[in-house]
Amino acid sequence: MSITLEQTESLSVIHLEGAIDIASAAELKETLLKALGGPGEVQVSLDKLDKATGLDVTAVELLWAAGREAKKAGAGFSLVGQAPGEVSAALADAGLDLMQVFQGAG
Amino acid sequence: MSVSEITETRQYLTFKLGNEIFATEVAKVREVLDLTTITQIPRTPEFMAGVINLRGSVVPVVDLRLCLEMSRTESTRNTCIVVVEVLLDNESTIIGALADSVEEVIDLEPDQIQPAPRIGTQIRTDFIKGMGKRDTQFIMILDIDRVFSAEELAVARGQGQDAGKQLETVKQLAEVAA
Amino acid sequence: MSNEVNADIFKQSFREEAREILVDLESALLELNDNRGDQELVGRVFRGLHTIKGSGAMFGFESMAAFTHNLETAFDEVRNGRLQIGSELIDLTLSALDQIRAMIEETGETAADPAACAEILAKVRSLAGIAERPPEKGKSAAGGSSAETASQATASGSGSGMNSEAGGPVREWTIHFAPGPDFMLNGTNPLLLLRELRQMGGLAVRASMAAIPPLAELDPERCYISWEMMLATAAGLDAIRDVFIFVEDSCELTIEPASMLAGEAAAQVAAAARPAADGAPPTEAELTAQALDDKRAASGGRRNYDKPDNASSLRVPATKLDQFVDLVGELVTVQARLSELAARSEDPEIASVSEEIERLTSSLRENSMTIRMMPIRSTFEKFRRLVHDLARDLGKNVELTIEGAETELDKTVIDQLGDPLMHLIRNSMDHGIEAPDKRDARGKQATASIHLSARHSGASVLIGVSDDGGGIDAEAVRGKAVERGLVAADAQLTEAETFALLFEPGFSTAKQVTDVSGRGVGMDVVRQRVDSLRGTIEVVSKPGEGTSVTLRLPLTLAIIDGLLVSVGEAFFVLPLANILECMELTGEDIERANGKQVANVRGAIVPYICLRQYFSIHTARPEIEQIMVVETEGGRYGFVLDQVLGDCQTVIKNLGRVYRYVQVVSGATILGNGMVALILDPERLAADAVRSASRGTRTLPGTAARPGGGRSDAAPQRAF
Repeated sequence: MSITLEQTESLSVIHLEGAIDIASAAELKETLLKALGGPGEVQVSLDKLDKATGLDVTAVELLWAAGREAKKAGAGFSLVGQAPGEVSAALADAGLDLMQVFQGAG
Repeated sequence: MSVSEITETRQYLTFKLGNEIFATEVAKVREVLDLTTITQIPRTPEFMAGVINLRGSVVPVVDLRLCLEMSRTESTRNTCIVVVEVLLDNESTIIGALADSVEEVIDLEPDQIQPAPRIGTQIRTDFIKGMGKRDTQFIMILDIDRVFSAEELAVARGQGQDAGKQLETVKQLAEVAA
Repeated sequence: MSNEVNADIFKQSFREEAREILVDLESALLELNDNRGDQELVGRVFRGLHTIKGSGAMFGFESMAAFTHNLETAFDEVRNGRLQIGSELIDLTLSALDQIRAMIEETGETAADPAACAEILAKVRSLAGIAERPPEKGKSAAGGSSAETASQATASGSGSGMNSEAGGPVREWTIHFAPGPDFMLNGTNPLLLLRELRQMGGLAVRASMAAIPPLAELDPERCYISWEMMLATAAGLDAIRDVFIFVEDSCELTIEPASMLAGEAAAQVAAAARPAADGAPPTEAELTAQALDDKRAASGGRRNYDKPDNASSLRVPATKLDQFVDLVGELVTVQARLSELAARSEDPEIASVSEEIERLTSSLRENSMTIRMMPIRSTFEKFRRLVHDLARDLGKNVELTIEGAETELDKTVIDQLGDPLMHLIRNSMDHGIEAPDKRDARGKQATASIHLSARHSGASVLIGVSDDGGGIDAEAVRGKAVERGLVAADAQLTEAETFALLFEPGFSTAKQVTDVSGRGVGMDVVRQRVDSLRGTIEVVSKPGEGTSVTLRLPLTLAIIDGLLVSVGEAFFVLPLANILECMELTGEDIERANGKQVANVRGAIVPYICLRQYFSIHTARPEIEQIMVVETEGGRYGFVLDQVLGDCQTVIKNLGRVYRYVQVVSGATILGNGMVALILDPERLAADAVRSASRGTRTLPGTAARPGGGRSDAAPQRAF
């Protein structure tokens, strides 16, 4: 698992890699807060997520909360890249379709 | 456990038996109680002092002095029961140990601990894990699991049963039967 | 990390659950062996395997789950009539259960044997005609109907063909599932639970994000999302509930038939589909708490547990129960003290409070005892397997019948019964039941029977193990005992005494040492265990017709009805069950007996044991002592003590490992004043006194004394 933050003046990109679950939830929260504290738009990259475990509900709710906050503040927040099909499917099964959940936030 | 296995600083509770200072790892100690009424269990070896009521649990108490082949503990104002958690046959068991007085908690570095001397002490050396030194005082670190190990208790039990109270009773019964 | 610890606790609770399921599976399989067409049994086996697989995967027992999946598939084939039940499948499944058990326990010693597993799998597959494929296949197929949107939420998913529970019509259920604060810490993944549900049929899911707090305040290790679901399945409520079985305690869960609420549910879904007013993202995922509240209000605040058809039982760790019973015991003790004080104070107000507390304590005590009561069923059932396997190994034909499996007794007693029963059954199988040719020659039925029974009798429970085998040859037992030096060659023994020799250490009538029994251990273990449970053993045997062993055990180990007595400053409790009567013993009486320790109890000479001497209590004798006359297996004895303080219902506390060798004291109890009193075992105390005395120069006074050797006019003071 790894969470990295690339920050420029106009853009903060969070790269999520491996399994982002409860073990990394605290770190993800910190990173999101930091990114939202930055000046520009926030993007979360899902390309390198693990197939089997990917995102769990703690990660989803963190992303969702971050999206809600960004929207309130009028800032840009978007998920970029394609999460592995298995991850999207597992989340969709639980009524958490990523695209649907975040469609209004981008 | 040999002294060579003590490789880090540990905390020890020190207590007195007679004039000697003993110590046991703090990690093994559950609490220290003032002396309370000890209910003797009949026909058990003398060093097994009996049982106490520890907040609703029945906890056995041993006379540590007798275990270490010293004379029996005399009850004084300072007498305490050190409640320790030991491993008996790989099962964790709570046992109270009588001590003449409880001193303090100290830190000992591994290099402050030497192997127990083979001679020059009245105490059974196989119960001593090592000798600590603090200022000019020697502190004997007890291998508390060993002291209370089932084996030791069983040996003592054998001696106690044959030599102790039972014989007395047999004699009495035989006398009155005559 | 605490998560790992929690996950371990969780695994542990899975293990406990799985063990029970395995026992049930085993007995279902064995029953199935006898009734091969029974669809209900097939269903039971299938469900058991399914539950183990599903929950196993959830708690990280992946390889076990994959292994079990194949068995499950085989039984699915059976259920669908595509595969016939045969002994091969049953034996295979039984050995597979052993492997599953080993995988669950994950202990080095019993770890599953990979080679054996592979072999079982290969055989199961070839039997069931399953191609090698991972279990996930089926799942992803089931997950195909993902991402249903709000408008589809009320649509039935019954067309999906994944109604894995056959029989019964497809019904719709609404499920509300909200993980609690510590849900995630248990290592559970809600996604897997939902996937499990999806496998049961058509599922529409809506996640509610309403409870997610602002990012800065969000506890990242907590699941704030909750779910509203509509499930269309042929499976029953219990099967749905089983999906949540390990998380029920840590989440809010409502499962209700949708038919009752269909209209409302549709309305809610419609309401929820409207964008929420607070400017949250229009995620459609706002099936809010408000809607839930409405629903609860509409259904009269009724929650799932109000319904009679719900399993309304709790799983509680046994240690918690023990603590509870301990506390009740202490309350009983303190209450006795209060009654004493109230009686002394003569204050009517205190007296009335004290009476009220006495009444409450007494019902609390009875209640707490019944909580610990469990039916003996599972202990009995697990012997089906033993008998099945032993019969095969020994080449004997044996049927096990069970009676009174619903009989309830204290959990502690049940836990201790497994070993003794196992030894008794093995002994019957090995020595009792004859080889088939011998049975034939004797004109007996080819199939021998072993009968396990349980029933209540007063404050005891009787557990019986009987067989219709060859019976015990009393002469052979006697001969063997003489040979082993257990009895004198000229000893006069009753039949009961002779059979009791079977349970002496080192006694074995087996002509040859077999794997099954006859290693000279076993039967004495039975005796030891039964003794430690304060029970007795009775053996009845007719040569050629069979043997019946009956264990008489107390219903509970936790509390004893006793009499509190004192000697000097020491307190003892004598079990009421043994006490016959109590009378005074004066100095005159002692003199009149010419120094013999015997008393005249209404014409009968009873030897007595002076507890002051026996326990070496060095206080002065009071002028008048009391004799408590007790009944033991070895006859009547008197215990001489100072004072009888009164009845007490007392909680037995173990003296602990250190004192486990102490025989004459069966435990201790804590009195109202905080003192510890020892509970005496009159049976052993009398036996020990006799033994001690006979090791001296003479036999115990009184056993040698003739009637009329001493006269006591001590009057009976109290009869029980």
